[in-house]
Amino acid sequence: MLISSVVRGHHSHANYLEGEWLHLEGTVSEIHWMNPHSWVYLNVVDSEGQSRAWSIEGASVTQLRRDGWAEDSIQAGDTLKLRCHPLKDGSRGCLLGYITMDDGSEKEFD
Amino acid sequence: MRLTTILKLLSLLVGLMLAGAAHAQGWTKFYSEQDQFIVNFPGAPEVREADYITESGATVPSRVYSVEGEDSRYAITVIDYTGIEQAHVALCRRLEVELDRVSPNQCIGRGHFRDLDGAIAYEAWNIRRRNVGEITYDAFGRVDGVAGHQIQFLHPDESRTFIGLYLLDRRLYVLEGTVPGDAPPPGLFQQSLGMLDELGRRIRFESDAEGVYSRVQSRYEYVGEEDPITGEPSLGVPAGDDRRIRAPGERTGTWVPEEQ
Repeated sequence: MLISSVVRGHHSHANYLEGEWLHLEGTVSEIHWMNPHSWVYLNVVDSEGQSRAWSIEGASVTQLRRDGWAEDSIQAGDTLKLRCHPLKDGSRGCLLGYITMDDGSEKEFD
Repeated sequence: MRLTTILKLLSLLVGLMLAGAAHAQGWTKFYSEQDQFIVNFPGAPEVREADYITESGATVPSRVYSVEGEDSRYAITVIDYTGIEQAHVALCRRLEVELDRVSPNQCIGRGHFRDLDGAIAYEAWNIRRRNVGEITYDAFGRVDGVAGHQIQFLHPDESRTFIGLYLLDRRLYVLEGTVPGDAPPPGLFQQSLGMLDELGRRIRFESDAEGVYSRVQSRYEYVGEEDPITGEPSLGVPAGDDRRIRAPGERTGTWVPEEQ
């Protein structure tokens, strides 16, 4: 039986709007470097000036390491710019996506 | 979910907190050998047993693993359908005593398969009819190629509940994470489920071009042997990239109960 060689995620991303990109900038409050997914909790100031806590889903630790990320690449207190797919239900969750590096380039975090 | 009122607090955790497992700011991997799953919890869960009444009225066991905070709750309920056939026999014997005539629709044939086939749909219905808030998402989902369903609630107090239901090997796993309105949504918990085989190996299916799913080796199946930082197998044995399912005795980082 043929097995696809495409690397697939741990779970379907059905509850995310994968056809839309959301640009977020904020301060990292927590980074959860773990399997099967890493998570970045980001405080983002909304249009009303209120800081809102977002949960940003990334790839597995294994995949991130393969992509050149390390556990200390992102730390609490860091300012982060990223591009992600928002949750369909309108809550403050988002699927990475790309993180904007210091030189302005984007690096995959999924 | 319909639970009977008889709840028993287990004297011992049937699960095992993984020593040295991946740990990040309070989140820890929890592994249950009895119920064959692994999940991320923000602490050691309390475990309760409860009877569960299936859609056809049979009684099967369930276990609820939960961690509760001041304003948050994370729980995985495992509804154990492994004895569903015997549960149906017991149901019919009871009905024979209680009724003057048992319905042939209920007690002839393999009625227990109806409960199994409908396990996700029935429990999803139970969840919806709690009527505890606005359902903001209600659709199909998969974890490791295992088909399931996701439901998300927005409650009147702005708190949110994210739920995932997945059925594998006659066990229905129901994950529920609830957080207050000012907290990040509980996807970290909802999306962390792994289902294991009897040897503790992560079960993962992938589809071919025809949509036929078959089991493949997971890249993160190393239950109990992960490096606490990297998540890589700590035995120093490469995982192998041939995606072949290893034999039980092969040393590929696979967790083997007798060796723990």
